[in-house]
Amino acid sequence: MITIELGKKLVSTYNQVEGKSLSGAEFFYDVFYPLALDGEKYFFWLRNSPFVQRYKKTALPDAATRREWLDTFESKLEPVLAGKASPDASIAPGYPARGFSETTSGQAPDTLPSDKDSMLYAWIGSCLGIGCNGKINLCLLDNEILYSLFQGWKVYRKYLDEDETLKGNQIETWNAHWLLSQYSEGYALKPDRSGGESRFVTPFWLDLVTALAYIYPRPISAYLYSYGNMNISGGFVTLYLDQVKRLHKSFSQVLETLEVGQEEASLKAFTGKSSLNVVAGEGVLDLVSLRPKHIEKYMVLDELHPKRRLWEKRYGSLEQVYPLTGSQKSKITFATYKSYLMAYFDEEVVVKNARLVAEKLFNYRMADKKGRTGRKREIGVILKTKNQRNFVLRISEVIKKSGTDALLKNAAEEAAHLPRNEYLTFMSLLNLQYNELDQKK
Amino acid sequence: MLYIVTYKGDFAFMKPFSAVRDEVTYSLQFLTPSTLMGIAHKMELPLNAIKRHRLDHKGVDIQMEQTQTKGYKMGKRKKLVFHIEEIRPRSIVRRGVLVAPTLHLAFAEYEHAAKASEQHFCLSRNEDLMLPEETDMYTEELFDTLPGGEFFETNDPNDMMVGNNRFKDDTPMYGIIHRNRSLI
Repeated sequence: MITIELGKKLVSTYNQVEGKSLSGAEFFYDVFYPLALDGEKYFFWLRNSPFVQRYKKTALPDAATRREWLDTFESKLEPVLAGKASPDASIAPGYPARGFSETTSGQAPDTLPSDKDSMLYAWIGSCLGIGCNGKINLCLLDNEILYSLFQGWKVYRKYLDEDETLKGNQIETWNAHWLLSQYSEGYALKPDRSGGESRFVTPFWLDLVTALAYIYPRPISAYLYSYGNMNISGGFVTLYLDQVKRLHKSFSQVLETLEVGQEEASLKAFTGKSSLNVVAGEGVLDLVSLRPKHIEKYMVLDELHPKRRLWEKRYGSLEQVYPLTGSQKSKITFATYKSYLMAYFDEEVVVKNARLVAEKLFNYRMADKKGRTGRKREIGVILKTKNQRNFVLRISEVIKKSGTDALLKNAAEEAAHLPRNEYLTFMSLLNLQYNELDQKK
Repeated sequence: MLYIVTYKGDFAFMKPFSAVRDEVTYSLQFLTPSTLMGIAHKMELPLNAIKRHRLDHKGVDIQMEQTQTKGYKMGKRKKLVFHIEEIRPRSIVRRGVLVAPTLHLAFAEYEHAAKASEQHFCLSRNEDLMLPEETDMYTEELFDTLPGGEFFETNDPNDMMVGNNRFKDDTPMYGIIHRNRSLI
């Protein structure tokens, strides 16, 4: 049913851009049908639909046959429009199975949109998924992306007509390749010809997400699904594309310093072979989902961490385990860990926390009218703390006196986990912010 | 000030509205406005009593569930039996179920929270009971820092659609999905 929503969005964007006012049905017959289904090869294969029931690979349908099949489709729509039958998956993609005796019939809702526009929107929307490896489609309800995919359809029809050996019914995979070609420089839009039949291979999902992250560095809602012999609903997920971009940026920076080619800079190293199914389970894609294995042991390599010596004895420092003179593979492993730590202890977070702590401390000082001098002295000590443990202890004193404050507690916790040099940056920023507030008063 | 009631349960499964013929379905990780209204309705509170929510869990488990068809199928006529057997075929579907869900519901009125803290509800299957565990008082600012998923209705068709609201004549629900997860 998400397909209806997708179709609606594309048609409204198309109307806006082209300055037209087409309804769903008009768009289907004027624009969609000639592109997707009026050819010897289709954009996609809807099981049991009139377009595929008598389709034979040995005798590809000519224009007259296709016209006949379109009429059959029309005649199948009629009883539904007259209210004599309920719509099913053979005439509208994404709809429930026909009748009450199918095993999935219990999932169908009582009310299904059964007007002509909705059913035809479903056809349009079913061509707007973005196919990724793991046989699961990503769908983004973003007008700009949807219109870009529509532009790609015209090129796909050209490919299908001109290349006789190209396999049809791959619109979702094509969409992914099209987006990659649009959003990353120098991407070759070529099918794989290794077998007898040439076909597009589904790209790695994280490559696609990275490409998107550079255009939309902000959190975005997406829907994961798969239609086919077995339908899958991955549900709604939130993609924190800003975090993905941050990680990829630091990864390519580290690779550059190590003089490893940029073609290696795929985030594959961060997830292994996991597919979008894992993201569907977690419901979110952020830095935690992209955490490399065993990264935890490098996160305590801070000078003052109580367990540091033990860790070093057991694992050695990051540079010792993966010496930079090593092979290409060890260089990439090193870059994976290093860049993750860089993205994790992002400067922005440090700056934000420093500002927050400064404000809280200032409010703390102003709150008590009697003991201002005492509190001023207390804060002066905090601002000079060079030891992270002492910093946390002193902040906890403040929290004890001023009452529970989750934000301050969080900020102090994060400061405690910072590496040494980041902590010093944090402290100097804190001093800067606090003095600014103090002077404004 | 928000009055918080925290509920805990063992499992939860909420079907996305678009899953109509699926063999594998992952649960929603937030509550839609109509689910919240349903919960308020069950507790005999005004439909808009619940102002905010946060749903957190400890992971997703793929569990198998036996289903039956909606209607009956006619069986074959047997000798010496006068009636025709009616069958409901069975099948197995897989569901991505939330494990150990924790749900914080935020009420604006103290009386509503007090009434809610004495009741249970299901999320959303009958067997997935959620029981009240604790109550608290938070500011909006502090509530924002709680981990978990939340859906903010915007009624803007450019945002994500998550279903139709049963309590408002099946109008579509549009909004933004927020997910709070600590990096540490």
